[in-house]
Amino acid sequence: MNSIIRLTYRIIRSALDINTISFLVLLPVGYLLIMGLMMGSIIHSFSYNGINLSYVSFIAPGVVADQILMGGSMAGWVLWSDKRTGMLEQIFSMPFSRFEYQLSNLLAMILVTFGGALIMILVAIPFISLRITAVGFLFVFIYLVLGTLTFGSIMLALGATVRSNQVFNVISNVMFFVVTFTSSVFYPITSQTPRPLAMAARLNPLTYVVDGIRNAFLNASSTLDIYYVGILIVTSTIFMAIASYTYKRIRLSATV
Amino acid sequence: MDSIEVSNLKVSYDGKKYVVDDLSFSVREGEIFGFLGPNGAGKTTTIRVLTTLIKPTHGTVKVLGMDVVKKGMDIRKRIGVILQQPSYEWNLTVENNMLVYGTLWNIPRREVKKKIDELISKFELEDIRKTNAADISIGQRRRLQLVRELMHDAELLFLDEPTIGLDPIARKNILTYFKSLARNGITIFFTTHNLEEADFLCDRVGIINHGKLFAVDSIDNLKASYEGERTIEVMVNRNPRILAGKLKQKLDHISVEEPVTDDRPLKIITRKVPETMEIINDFIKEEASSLLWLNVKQTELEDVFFKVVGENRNE
Repeated sequence: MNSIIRLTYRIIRSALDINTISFLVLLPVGYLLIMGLMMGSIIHSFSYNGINLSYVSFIAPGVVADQILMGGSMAGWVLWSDKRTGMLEQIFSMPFSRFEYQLSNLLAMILVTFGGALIMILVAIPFISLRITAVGFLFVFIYLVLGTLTFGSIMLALGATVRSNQVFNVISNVMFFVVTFTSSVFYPITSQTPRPLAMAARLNPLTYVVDGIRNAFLNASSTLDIYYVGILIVTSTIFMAIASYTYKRIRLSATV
Repeated sequence: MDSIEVSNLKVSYDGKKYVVDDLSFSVREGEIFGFLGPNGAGKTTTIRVLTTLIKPTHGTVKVLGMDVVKKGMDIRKRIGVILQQPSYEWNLTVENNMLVYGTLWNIPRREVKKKIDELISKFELEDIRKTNAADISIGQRRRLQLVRELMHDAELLFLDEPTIGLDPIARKNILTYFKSLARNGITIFFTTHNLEEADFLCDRVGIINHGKLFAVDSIDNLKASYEGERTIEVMVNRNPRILAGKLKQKLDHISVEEPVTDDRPLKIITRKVPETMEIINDFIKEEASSLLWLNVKQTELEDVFFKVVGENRNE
């Protein structure tokens, strides 16, 4: 079996216990059903890109895209935890390279993201109007991969740099909050959006992932998606390079 | 053939101070080589170079005939490493820890399961087989770490203080197993503080302190080089440090290991037993001290170690 597949298997096997799976599934389901349906009682329907939508149909693609943050934070957590439990050093004394470990970590998170996204789609289907096509599925796939590479790399850089569990949790939770609420997960970015928030949304890669998946769900993908994909290729490349840099500088425990 | 060849190895983490300074030694195929030294001597750094975790600053190091800088991956395919730092998958059971480890080593699933059963039974892990690694004791985790490394067939095993945290029965069991591995041709590089273990297990030992290697030989030869020397252990009820000073002042070629606390004996290695006794006697009279305990014995590995480390403490 290929080294990367073996390492990916190990990460999924060791990282996904019942508590983690529950957290990965229940939080977004909560967002989708509680927030989507409750807010739906005050926001009946509105026009998005010329399509009349219920609020739950609007946020469903955002919740699917949010799986990227879940997967991403797990990538950083796995690296941090492997440093703490001595597994990183042990793995590096085995026939694996640092690059293979980094790649397998991202691959594992892409799989987790896909799993989570699929569950969200299945949960959302009864409540939303889904008009996705085969090309739309391809777009969703591309957005999820590029988004996971972007946010997974950010979290890997964090996991490589941070020493304490508390600091890692605080930073990742704040980041999760800021990134989610300065994107188009819960509200559209329009000409009426306050200027600073609109600016933050445009700088936030999650906005492009959410808008792209939303377009795919509504069968409204256009040439604009090429622009979104281009931006995400750039962000994922930059953050993967940063992650590789911080990751190469990890000093294994320093006993003489 | 040599499994390990180290020539003029130097390692520096900060570019200023060498934590390993000009080591040269070799380990023969099928040999159990003990690497002895106090804390901070450079044992773990040496093991990290040998296992390709860090690169040497100077010198050449070959493991299984391959250069550690150029052929790291090829070396790692053929070695087994038990690092000093505990490592385990904290949320997996003991059995699943072994299963995942076996998979990482690309051992076919059926073979992994057979090996798990065999090792779990041999090292008495049956009671904790289904328990999460997070919920077992430190000693049990160490046992898991050791047993896990026996899942794959390594030609050369690096053991960095492997018995830390083990109870005496588990320790004896695992050391006996290592001995049987060596009889089957596996080379073992073993670091320890425990000299009794080294005496039991090792064919040859190297004594390292402050990054320098001061002695490499078989245990019998090391002991023989101190032939005629005796180890005198003495406890007095007052001022043992003054006694140590007097001995060092009055006698040449003497090694005096001062006790860390006053309730431990002063350890003296010397060929001049009658003269030493006379000085002790004089000290007792002059200082109005009492002799609490005195023992004269043949020099053992522990005494050789203390002498080598003590003589080179300030280098």
